[in-house]
Amino acid sequence: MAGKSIIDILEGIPREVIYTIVLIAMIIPLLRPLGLPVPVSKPIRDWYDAIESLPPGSIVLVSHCSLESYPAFESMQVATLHHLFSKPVKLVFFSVDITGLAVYDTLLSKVNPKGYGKTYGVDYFHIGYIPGVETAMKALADDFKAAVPSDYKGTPLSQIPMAANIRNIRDFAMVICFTSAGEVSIGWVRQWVVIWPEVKYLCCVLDMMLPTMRPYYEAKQVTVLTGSAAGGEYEFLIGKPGSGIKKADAFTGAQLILLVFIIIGNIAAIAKRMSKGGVR
Amino acid sequence: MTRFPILEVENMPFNGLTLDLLQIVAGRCLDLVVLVIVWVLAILGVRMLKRGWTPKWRKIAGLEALEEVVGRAAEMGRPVHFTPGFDSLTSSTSPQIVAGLAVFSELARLCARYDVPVICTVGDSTVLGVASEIYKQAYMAEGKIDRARPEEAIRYLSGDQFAFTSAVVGIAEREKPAGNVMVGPFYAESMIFSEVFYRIGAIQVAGTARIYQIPFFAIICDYVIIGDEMFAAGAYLTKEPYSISSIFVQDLVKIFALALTIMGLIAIHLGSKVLIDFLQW
Amino acid sequence: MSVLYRRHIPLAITFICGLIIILQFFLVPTKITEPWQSTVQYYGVTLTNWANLLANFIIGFGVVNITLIHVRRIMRAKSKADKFYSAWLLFVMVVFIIVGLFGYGRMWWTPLASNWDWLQYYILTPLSATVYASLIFYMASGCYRAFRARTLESAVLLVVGFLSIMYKTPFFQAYAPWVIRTVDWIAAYPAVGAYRAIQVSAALGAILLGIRTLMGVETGYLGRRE
Repeated sequence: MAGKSIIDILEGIPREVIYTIVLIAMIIPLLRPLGLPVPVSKPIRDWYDAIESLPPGSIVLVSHCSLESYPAFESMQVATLHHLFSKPVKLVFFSVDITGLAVYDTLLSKVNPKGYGKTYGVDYFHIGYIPGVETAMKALADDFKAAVPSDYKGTPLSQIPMAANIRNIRDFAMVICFTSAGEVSIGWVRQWVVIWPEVKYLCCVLDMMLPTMRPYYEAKQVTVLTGSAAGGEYEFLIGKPGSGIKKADAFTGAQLILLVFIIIGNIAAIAKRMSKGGVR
Repeated sequence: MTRFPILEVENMPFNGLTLDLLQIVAGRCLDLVVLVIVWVLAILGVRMLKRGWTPKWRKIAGLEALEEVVGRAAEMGRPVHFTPGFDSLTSSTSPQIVAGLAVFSELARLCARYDVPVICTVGDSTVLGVASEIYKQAYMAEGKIDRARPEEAIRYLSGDQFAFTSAVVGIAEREKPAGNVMVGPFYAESMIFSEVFYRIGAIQVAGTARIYQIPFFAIICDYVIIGDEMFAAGAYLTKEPYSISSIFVQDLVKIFALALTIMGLIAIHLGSKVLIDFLQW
Repeated sequence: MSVLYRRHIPLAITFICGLIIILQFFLVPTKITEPWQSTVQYYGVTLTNWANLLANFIIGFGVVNITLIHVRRIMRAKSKADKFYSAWLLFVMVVFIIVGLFGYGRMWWTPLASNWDWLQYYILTPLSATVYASLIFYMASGCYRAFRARTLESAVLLVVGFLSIMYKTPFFQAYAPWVIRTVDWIAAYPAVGAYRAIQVSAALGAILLGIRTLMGVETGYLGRRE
């Protein structure tokens, strides 16, 4: 550090310092929530309204995330399932990833459908993992019973009461997708929405994927598009606070620190250019 | 469905010409027409090339920089790292992997020429065999097959995304390559790779057609190959006539798409949906 | 004979398989009405299934490669840490293989099934999530270094990046709603336009690469560039 001016230090802050400060900025709100405001954004309101507007008896396909992206989607999925189970609708769960069944078990343990008076097989069931992503989506759209002979436990569909009326894509009112894979989020557009535009498509992806899905949202092929980080807003809206609201403070802390570092870096770079002629 | 259904079919398509052959699926007729036109234009382009026509190439800085990467590694006495991404040759991103392997082919030849060790890390077994073969062919082309070490150079790390990521980070920290070339489909690991190799001082060339990873490469890597520049890599590096003509045809189709966009914009504002119907033909 | 075997036959196989898939896409509708459509569909689906089978069996090739590399490292590495890590990798790989082969429910031996789930939930998933979560630190240092206004383009990148970070921060969503409107406009118009242009050209590039592959010009997948 000897021989370095304050401008040099601020322009080249060691990454260890950056990492430590970001870590502290995230840990403090998790240990002691700051109570920062969590405003509800338009996409979350639209998501809420879309589910609220489902007619009683509607069948909704829920394509949940894989195990490795579960931490990112946990709050949004749990809040969505709380909302769906509180409505008189029927749910069909589907996994595009082989690790998805573990996610399903974890989600249901957190949501507790029995508390809403829901029964497996009557109000919801899981069709398991079907390999092939878009091939699987197309198979479900064309002929549900041919694509899914049994549920994830091996029970034939003929023994599942709510499966009796499901023939193809036209029997679904909505598909809700939580995914970190662009092929999956776009696949639902290509294989479902394009074939049957009446089905509503609610898509929750990682925030960095929002620009990718935005053209489909602008073309009205995605009914509602939101990022996974908005789980806290949804929990707040439905009145079921959970991990999402806690993470919102940590998220704010990390983002604010990031902005501060960017400002510091630019001020130092400009000051250095003005004082020494801009030698990098 | 029986074991040999073709023996039970009455209207077999190769039993003389029938109108059945013209029953194109609704909504895909324009796709087929464009595909056929593109194919024909590519062949015509080759004829024009053989008659002396030379198209002008825009320089793709990332591909031009491969020699710089290998040269720097030769000076520093350190290896070059290459990865074609994480996916499989049977997945929907296989064109990107093939494009990445085309770059690896050139990179391996340069490394063989300048005696620079290359480390090729792959995340899928389907790519492993192809990469090994490319590596051996490159050394053979340079007359240095005795120095080829595919068992050390080509490394299958893991089929799990973040295990693959961790392994590449470990290779970067331990073996400290002087150059890093990443061309193919990348996911969340793009930022991690870029940062780690920047940290060890490697010169980086990165390319992907996965749009939302391009910004991460753009802000950190020295050279970025964006989208279709990656698919042109094979043609750019080999200067093979069929490949060059296909790149020319690609640009023609882009101009056609742009013209359709403008005409569609005008048509929609005049209240006509003729172009929408045409595109759905 | 060598050229026939190493080049012409593989290219012919590629062309025939590609042609079948193309015919399936253009000639077979969702609801099959003609017998020949079901024939084309059958061969297309069979080829796809064969590709998936090959991809799964070739995993063994990767296991052999890993074993060779790490056994060699154990024998030759100078550092004890390298030897230990390679030995540990081989040990864990063997454990996963044994539990996966004999412990997967409904496959072989049910008593080990819960062990596979345990390995998946309590070892693999937390490790993957940890590496994924470490992205924030790399992004922090990357943004600090890259978002500098040196040129006009980098200044635009700085402004848009800064606004995007503010957009996703709940604090600014509450106290600076103009950020939401501004970033929504950027995301809806300039960004979408640029994204669509890159997507169209990337898709065209992939199509032409496919045509070159079918024509036998692009031979990268064969392991040779001629």
